[in-house]
Amino acid sequence: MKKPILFLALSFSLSAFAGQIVHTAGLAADTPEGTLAGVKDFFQQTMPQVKGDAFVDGALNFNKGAREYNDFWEARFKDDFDQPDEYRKAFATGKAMWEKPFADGKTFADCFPDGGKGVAASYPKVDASGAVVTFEKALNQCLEAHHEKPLAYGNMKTMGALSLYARRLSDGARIHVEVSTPAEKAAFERGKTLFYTRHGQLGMACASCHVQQAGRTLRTEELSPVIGQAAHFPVFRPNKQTAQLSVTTLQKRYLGCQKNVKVKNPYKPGSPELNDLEFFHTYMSNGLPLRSGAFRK
Amino acid sequence: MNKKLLAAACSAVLLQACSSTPSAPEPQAKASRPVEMNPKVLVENNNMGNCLACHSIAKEPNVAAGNIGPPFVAMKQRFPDKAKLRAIIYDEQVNNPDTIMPPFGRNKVLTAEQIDAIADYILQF
Repeated sequence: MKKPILFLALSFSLSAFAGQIVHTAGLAADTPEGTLAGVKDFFQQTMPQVKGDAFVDGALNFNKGAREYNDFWEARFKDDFDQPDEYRKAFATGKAMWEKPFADGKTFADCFPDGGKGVAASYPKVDASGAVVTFEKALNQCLEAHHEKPLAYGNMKTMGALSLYARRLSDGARIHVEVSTPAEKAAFERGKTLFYTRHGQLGMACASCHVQQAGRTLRTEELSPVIGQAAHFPVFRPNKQTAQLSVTTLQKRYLGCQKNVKVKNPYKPGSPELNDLEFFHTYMSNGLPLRSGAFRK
Repeated sequence: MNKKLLAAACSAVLLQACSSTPSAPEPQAKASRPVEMNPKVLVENNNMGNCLACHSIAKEPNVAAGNIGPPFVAMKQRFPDKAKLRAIIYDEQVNNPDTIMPPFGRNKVLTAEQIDAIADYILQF
C-alpha cells in the first residue's frame, strides 16, 4: 500500500513542470518509419530548400552569416598553420586514448569490428536487457571489459575527446539505427515521449523548437531541424566571450537545452533517459553521413 | 578527555559558524532583492520575459528579435481588452494547447504584477 502512494507523490512532484505532450509532426505516427516520414513531410513544407545531406548543416541552412562564420572556422580546422590549438589538442588527446594499450595489452580497437572504423554509425543499440547503449557507453563497456575505469559521460576532456576521435573513424558512414525488435521499439517510444513532452519551467518540448518551429529565428539564432542534429557531434563550440573552443558531446548539449528551458533537475549525460532520447534522436538522422568534430555556435 | 571533546565540539561549532557566514547573506539577499519591475528589462532580459526571443517590435527594427511569435504591432487595435493580452502571457496553453509560448504566470517565471507591467508596455507598440 505504501509503495503506490510514494510512486504517486513522486510522479506528481516530477510532473510539476512536465507531462503535457506537444502535438506536432511525427507524434501521431505509431511506427518509427512513420514518425520519421511525418517529420520529413512537415519539413518539406516548412523548409523546402533543405534537402538530403544538407540537413546535417542544420541551422546553417537558414542564415548566410552563420554559414560564413562556420565556414571560416572549419577552414581553420583544416589548415595546418592556422589550426586552433583546442582543436588539435582535443583530437590528439582522443587519438592517444584510443591507441594507448590497456593493462592487458588490448586497445579500444580490439573491442569493435574493423578496428572501430564505421561502427559509430550503427549506434545507439539496445542490449539484451532492453537498455540503450550509446557509442560512448560502448566505449566505457570496452574499458570495463578490460578492467579499466570507465570515463564520466559529462567530462569533455576525457570522454569528449575520446568520442570525438573514435567517431571520426566513422566519418562519412551513413547512420543506420535499427528499430525492429520489441525492445528496440520500446526504447524508441521512450525516447520519442521524452522528445515530445514539455520540460522545465518554460514548458517546452524538444519538438517545440526542433520540429514545430525549426527554421525560425530565436532572437539571433535559427532553430535547427531535428533531422541531421545527431550526425555531427561531438561539436566544437566557441566561448561567447573568448572564442576559446570546447568539445561538446550530444548528451552534454542535451544538458544545455534543459538549462535553456529552466529544468530544475536535468537528466545527466549517460542517464537512461538521455540514452533513450539519443536513440530516438539518432534514428531521426538515419541515412545521413556522420561527421564528428563540426564547428557549431 | 572531556576537555578535548569539549574543545573539539566548540571548534566544530565555530567552524560551522565560520563556514556558514559567507554563504548566509546570499539567500537573504535573494529574498530581499526587489522584484524587477522595469518593463523594458522584463521584455528584453533572457531571464525575465525574454519576449524578444520570439517576438519583434515593429517600431524598433534594429533590436535583435525572433520571428517565432507574431510581432508587436498595432497592439491596441489587436487587444482592446488588456485582460486578453495578460491571459496570453500568463498561460497561452489555455487557448492553444500546443503553443511554444511558455506559461509565464502559471509556471511562476513572472509575477502577476510583472505580467501587468509587460502588458502595459507592449500595448504602446
